[in-house]
Amino acid sequence: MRTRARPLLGTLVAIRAEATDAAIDAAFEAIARVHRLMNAHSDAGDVAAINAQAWRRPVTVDAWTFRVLAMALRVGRASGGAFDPTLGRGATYEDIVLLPGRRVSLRRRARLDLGGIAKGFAVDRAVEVLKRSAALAGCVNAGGDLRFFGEAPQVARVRLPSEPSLSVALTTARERAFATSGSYFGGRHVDARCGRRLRLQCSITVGAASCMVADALTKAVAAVGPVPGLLARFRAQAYLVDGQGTIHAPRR
Amino acid sequence: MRALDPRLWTPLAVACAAAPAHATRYLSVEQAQRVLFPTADAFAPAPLPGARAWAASSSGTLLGHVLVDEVVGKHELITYAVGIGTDGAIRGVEILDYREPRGGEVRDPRWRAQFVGKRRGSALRLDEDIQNISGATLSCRHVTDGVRRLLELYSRSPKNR
Repeated sequence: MRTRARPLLGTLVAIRAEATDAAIDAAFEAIARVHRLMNAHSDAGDVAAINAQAWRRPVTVDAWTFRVLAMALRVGRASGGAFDPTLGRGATYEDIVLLPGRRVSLRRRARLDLGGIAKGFAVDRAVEVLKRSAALAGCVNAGGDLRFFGEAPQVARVRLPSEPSLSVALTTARERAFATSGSYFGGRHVDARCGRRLRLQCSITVGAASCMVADALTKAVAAVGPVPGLLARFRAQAYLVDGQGTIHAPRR
Repeated sequence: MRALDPRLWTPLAVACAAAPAHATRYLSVEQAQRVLFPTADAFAPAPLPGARAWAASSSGTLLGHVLVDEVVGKHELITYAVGIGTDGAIRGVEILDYREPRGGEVRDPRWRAQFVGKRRGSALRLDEDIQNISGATLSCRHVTDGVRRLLELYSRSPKNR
């Protein structure tokens, strides 16, 4: 089992796999390619081109970008807009129009940010590269968005929102992806009786078959809660970890 | 906030003990050298002022250099290696070690006690693997800054011109 890590996607991307160094190199390269295509902050790449031009005329994008946009719209629709990859000035996911021939146009001048879904997609592409190279088992973890592959079940852990240097074991799974909402909730509450700060922060984690779906759904669940129909549609589970390290599941 | 409405969530019967995170060794210096220059057959020490460095060569022909450095972030200590070709271009960046110092609270037994015994037989244990941990928002900005510093250092070193 080989474990390597590189600084990519603005975070630390770790790959553990029963694979050759060349296969792991290729998996890292797939992640770097997603970053080049979908980084909203770079001048090159599809998202930058969409933001600059797609409100005037359709922009042709890479097949990977098109897949991510299609899933972003699916999760946007299914969550009633709780997940939305557009930014600012009244724009919504409904302003994104996907056209035949991998072309994208915008109904109004809007800015796309695929940061809430592209990281998961990058993890999926890396897993695909590793599997194609005959890697038997492993895990790809992009700063907390992770996916297991292989026959053996693996334990998914989640950092405690109140004390990120600690983690709890969430569940055991095989061929499964997990993403945790990056921002922690509850903020700083103060106990009025003694003025002491209370730890009320929680985090939300979603498990799904693909890391792209887990990544997008965790944002939706963080916004509107574990809507049963939404999770069922994507065959996903949601978990809440509170400041005491207790794991909660959606009430049925 | 609606997402946190307690009526939407129910605690699972089994809560698990928290494990202190995380120290991971990804590669040794020797392994990183081979990953960055797979065709090299020799790595000779070639120290730079301010970084550990090795010259990678194949049958006596210089292929480039491997530089090893450390950066200290807000919550972490990262050792990393950069491969630089003879053209001065980066061949790759690999993380060697990742360590998070224990926070003060983690050392406080009273705070730790709340997690102990939640599940029978699961004492706090050292988790040596960051691999399967979700919700980790690790910044690699310090590494990116460090790589820039090493490139600067390298380009100013007369013997690499």
